[in-house]
Amino acid sequence: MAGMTASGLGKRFGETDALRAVDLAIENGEFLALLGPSGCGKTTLLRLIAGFEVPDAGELHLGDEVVARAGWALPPEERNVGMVFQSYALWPHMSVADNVGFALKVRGLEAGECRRRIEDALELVGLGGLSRRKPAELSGGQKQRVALARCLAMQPSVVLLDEPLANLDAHLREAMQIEFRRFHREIGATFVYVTHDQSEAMALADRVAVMDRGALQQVAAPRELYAEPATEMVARFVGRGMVLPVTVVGQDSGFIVAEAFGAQMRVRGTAAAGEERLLCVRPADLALDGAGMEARVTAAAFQGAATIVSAQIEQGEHVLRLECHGLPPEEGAAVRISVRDGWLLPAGRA
Amino acid sequence: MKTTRPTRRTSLSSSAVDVGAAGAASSRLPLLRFFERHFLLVLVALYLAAFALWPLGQLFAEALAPNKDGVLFGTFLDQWESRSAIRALSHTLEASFLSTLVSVFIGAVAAVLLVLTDMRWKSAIVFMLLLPLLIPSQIMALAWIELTGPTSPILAPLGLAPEPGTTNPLYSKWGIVIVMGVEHAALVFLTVRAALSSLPMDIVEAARLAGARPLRIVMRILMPLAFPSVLSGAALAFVASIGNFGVPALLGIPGRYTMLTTLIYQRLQGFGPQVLGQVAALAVILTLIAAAGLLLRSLVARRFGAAIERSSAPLVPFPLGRARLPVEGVFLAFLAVIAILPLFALVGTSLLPALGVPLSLETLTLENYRFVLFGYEAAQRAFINSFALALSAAMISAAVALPLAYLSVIERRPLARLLDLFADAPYAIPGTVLAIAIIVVFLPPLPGLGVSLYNTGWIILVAYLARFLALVLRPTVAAMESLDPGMDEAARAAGAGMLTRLKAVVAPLLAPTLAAGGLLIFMQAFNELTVSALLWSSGWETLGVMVFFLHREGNTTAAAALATLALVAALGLAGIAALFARRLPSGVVPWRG
Repeated sequence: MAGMTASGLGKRFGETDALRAVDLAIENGEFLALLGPSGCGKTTLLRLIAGFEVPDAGELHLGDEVVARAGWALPPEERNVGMVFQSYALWPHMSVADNVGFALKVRGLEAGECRRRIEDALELVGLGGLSRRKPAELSGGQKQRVALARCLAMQPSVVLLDEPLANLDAHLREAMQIEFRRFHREIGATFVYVTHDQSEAMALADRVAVMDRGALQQVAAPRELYAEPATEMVARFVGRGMVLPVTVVGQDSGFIVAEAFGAQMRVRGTAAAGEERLLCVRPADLALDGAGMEARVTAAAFQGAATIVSAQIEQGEHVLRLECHGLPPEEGAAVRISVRDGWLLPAGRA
Repeated sequence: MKTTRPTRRTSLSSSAVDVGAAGAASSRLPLLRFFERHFLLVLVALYLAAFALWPLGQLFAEALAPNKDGVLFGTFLDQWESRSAIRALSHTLEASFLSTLVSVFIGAVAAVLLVLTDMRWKSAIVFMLLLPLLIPSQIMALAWIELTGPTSPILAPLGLAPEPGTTNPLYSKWGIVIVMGVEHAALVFLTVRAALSSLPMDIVEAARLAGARPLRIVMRILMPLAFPSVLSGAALAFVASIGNFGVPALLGIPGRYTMLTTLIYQRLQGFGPQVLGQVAALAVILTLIAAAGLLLRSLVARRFGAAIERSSAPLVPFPLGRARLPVEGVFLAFLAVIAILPLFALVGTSLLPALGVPLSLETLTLENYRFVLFGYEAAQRAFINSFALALSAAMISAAVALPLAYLSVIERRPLARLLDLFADAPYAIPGTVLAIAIIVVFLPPLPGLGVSLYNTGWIILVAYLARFLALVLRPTVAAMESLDPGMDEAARAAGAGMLTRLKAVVAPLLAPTLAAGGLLIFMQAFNELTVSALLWSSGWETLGVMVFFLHREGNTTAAAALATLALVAALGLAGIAALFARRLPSGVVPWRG
């Protein structure tokens, strides 16, 4: 078992920087999610950790060992890193047991030990009775479990998961999320989990690393990521955040007082009076209570528990979305929007 | 699964880590790692270099060498002084051009009728059209000779055969044009059919809304769109005609209509390896014409490859209405005459006690079959030789294609990708050219061993290995490209080295493709004539050579019997391949669209 450290890791594909100077330390036994929109570099980072790609810059440590540096990489077959593929990549010509036991045979384990580990791995993922089946005879969820068992049976130091739930339907996905947490707890290995689904990342991981255009934006525990985004990208990407330009006015009992579009608001963060900063707000943080910024309602979409009201600020181009419980205002109506909570993005990282 | 167990210490939990097992993978010897990484690539590169690249390079060196007088490119330039070479060149161009017209006519009409009309019996028609692809040239030519000769078992009873004692009318330019035209019609048909069936329905619907009638739609809209494919198929048929040896050998040699392939054959048979420089120069001329044809084809593809939106449903055939039955009748009868009747004539001749005896229940005999199977040692040898050569070529080529495709597609090694490109060359050029190239390199004794492969069976095997690799490599590369990369990556993550991955994961997944490709090679090599006609030696006759010789010696009935047996073998193998084809992606087996 081992942690992993990337320092200054970079990778180019032709003209595009797939990964830019990534510094990331993953603790031994941690469950880390790599989150970001498609093309953000999260899969490239995962494939660098696995050894399928060679970095163009930087270094990668697995435990105490350097496994990759610019222009060189220890091949994956010598890393003892397990991977669960988005396509599952089960070998269709092998039975479930042969799939799970492949890595053990390659390592030359004696037959009894192989069998015991195959059984344990299948038992762990709840497929005890299916060892003789071929992958084609399994459901999507079962294939997913075999892929995981195959990965766990080899006792990898790091388990890499590349959007493993992307091909499952919604309710199966939720059930598997709970299972993944349990596997992680029982195995105790380091998990690195790539996803573009923020709720999946937040539900599963100890920490979430948000990536955008090849660069790490923020690495933080899910609650911190949601409450205190470090950059505008994270603010917008996580929890449907909106960003407003504000001017800091002063402080008041631990909060910052800021002004935007003619209204004052108390928000969280650190800043000095007079600073121009960006404020992250979420639909639930906004209210229509007759005070605050003047706006005009442009749309109202009923969503069951609440109505999402979109309103354009009178003094600017900004459109804010807010949750409205109860009867929503008419389209075109003039309203006032007050900010109940917000987070001032740190300076200089807009 | 549904109950949460208390955390238990299984063999999988972190505290039970088996350091020995985890360490086993990373303790692999550096030497072994190096060996695994480079050994296969070096092996495959040497293989292709020795059997394909070096011979082709040497052929050009030999052909472009100075002549006896030391004139630069003298050997090559001398050929333009030789009247027989010029005549053979003009015959080659003339007959190939005319036979291409025949192929285009048959192939294009057939494709239009099959794809665009509601004609019935389509599978029978396709079978008859593609039959010539499965039958080697020399057998096709022999069958036609039996059909149209004065002793024809089909035409003589009807009183339609030429007068006894006269020459077979096929021993002429027009004979060559017709037989090659029929044989290569399938190439045009396949190309045009593919283009027509990829046309979308909505362009037809738009034309109908504009008021156009079916005939107008076919002529003004569909045919212009399919025209590039007609050109492309024509180029294929032309290149095939340029390189054809079986038809000009059986029809042109007695008819004194010499083409380049037969001129090369006759010179080499007549004067032996001392004329190697001359025939190499002729081979280069042949290569240049073939290359021009292939270049034209790729230009056509690039120039006219206008992307058609394949958004809508495929074409619905136009109804022929009352014309359907007559059209079907005429077309089926025509195809039966050109594809089936010659084969009946061949079988009929093989059952005759002697040429000229009318075929009847009293005269019918299996003596010819007994003779070629048990009574004639050289024919028995030919069976064994061709079987062994074809089987070795198929198995070795499949064994080479697997690592080459793997290194090129999955490992993306630049050298392997380059080799993959070059591997097509020995199949794209005429077989005669390849055979000359192989002789140029393997006639001198092998360095270090002091023995020459010339006059042994090994030289035929070397030529087959060079020529047929593409037949298994192309489908293998295609299958490898459509393989989920995760298959290999998962095995890498599991700690498997390259050889283990090839053996345990990639080879089993590609086994059907390799087997189908190997079968294609076996089918072609088993009845091969063009290459072995130049490379055979006494004791190393092949089946193709044997049919050719029996016929030339005048033992036509025995030749017909041997050809019939070879034909049965070819069709039987095609049947097996067809069974395979169902389990393969389309395009792997050529006669499936």
